[in-house]
Amino acid sequence: MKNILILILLITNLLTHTSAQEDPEAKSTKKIDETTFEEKEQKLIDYSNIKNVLINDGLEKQQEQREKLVKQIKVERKSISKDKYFYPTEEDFWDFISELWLVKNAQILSWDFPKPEYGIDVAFKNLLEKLGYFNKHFKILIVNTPTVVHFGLPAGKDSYIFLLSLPFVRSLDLTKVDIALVLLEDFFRLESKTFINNLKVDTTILGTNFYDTEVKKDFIQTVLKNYSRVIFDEGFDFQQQYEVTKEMDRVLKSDPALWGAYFRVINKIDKFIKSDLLYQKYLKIYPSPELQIQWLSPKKKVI
Amino acid sequence: MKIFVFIFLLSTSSFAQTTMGRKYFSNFLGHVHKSMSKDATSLTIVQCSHSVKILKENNLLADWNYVQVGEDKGYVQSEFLTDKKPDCFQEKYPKFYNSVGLDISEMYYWGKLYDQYFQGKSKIK
Repeated sequence: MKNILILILLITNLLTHTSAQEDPEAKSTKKIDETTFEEKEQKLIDYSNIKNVLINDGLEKQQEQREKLVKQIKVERKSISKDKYFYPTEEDFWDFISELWLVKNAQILSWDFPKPEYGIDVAFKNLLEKLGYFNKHFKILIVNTPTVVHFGLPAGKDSYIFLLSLPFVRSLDLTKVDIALVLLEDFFRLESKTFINNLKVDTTILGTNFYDTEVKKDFIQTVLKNYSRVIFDEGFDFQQQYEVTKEMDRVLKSDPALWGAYFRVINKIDKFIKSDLLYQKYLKIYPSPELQIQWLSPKKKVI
Repeated sequence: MKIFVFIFLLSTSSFAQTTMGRKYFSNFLGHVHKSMSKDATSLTIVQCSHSVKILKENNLLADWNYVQVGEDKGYVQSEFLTDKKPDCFQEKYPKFYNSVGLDISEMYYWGKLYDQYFQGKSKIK
């Protein structure tokens, strides 16, 4: 008797555990019929055939109300379905497309490699706070290639993605403060939407609905193509460079140590890109450190 | 009799699922790692708002969680998990997201992206 009792206990124990382990998500995979009772009823019964019976029984009004309700359900259902067919808003789009571009160019950029904590994120955060830029969320991606030296990509309101070349940082022996200043330049370019403007893509479809039309698949391809064009080949023009340099000058002037560090970084970059063939393209993307030095240098007074 | 009771207790402890609760994955895509390292082998890919089972693990590093996703048990960085269901791009724009047609290798890289980022946020004044 005792043995039987113990056996029963063991079996129930096993059963309760297996049922507890059952994934609740598995249950949710069962297909749910979304059709309401009223709609099913409407489908099943042809009221036109029994119209006279309904009039005799005084149920015509009730039937009208029922038809109205089914109509309303159909409208609501269409509206719910329509909600799934929106293009992302401008706010949500840039983070998505910037990351999609990074994913599509993972091999060229070579960012998927083991790396230690460099402390760049902390240095940049401190710099932003020191200069009064609060509540800014940033993601820094270290790339193991000289193809892209440093670049800022849009990621929505108060959000930024920065690319930074490890070979570049090593070749120039940049300190954390130097790197933070280089990223600050990219931060200002993003704040002024220079990169988005240089893409020259029509973004008016963002936030609109495509329920009644086909989704424009070529839109994404066009944006990605233009990302590559600006990041790899065209970069920024002289006017844009002048504006960002002047902004850096204006912001950093209140802190002579930082201003000096920035001036030294530009000098370092200028000398380096003139001597290293690998970085000759830098001038095309950021024209030009030599001019930046001139724009930053105090003007000599002619007496 | 004592032996049977001992076996019964043993079976209870060995079958017990030491679940600490459930959390949601909050990034766009990510990985469940074999060990507590960003560069460790990926066991499976998880999408935003995927519910994961939090399991008990004694030698856990501070910023990692031991989780179960389907049959796989592995590690996810704590900052990637939330108690509240997150707002996800995939759920907000399902038809647009499907139209992009990400393949498995792109999904893999997208997950890796969040392992490779150094993220930060300047304080709120």
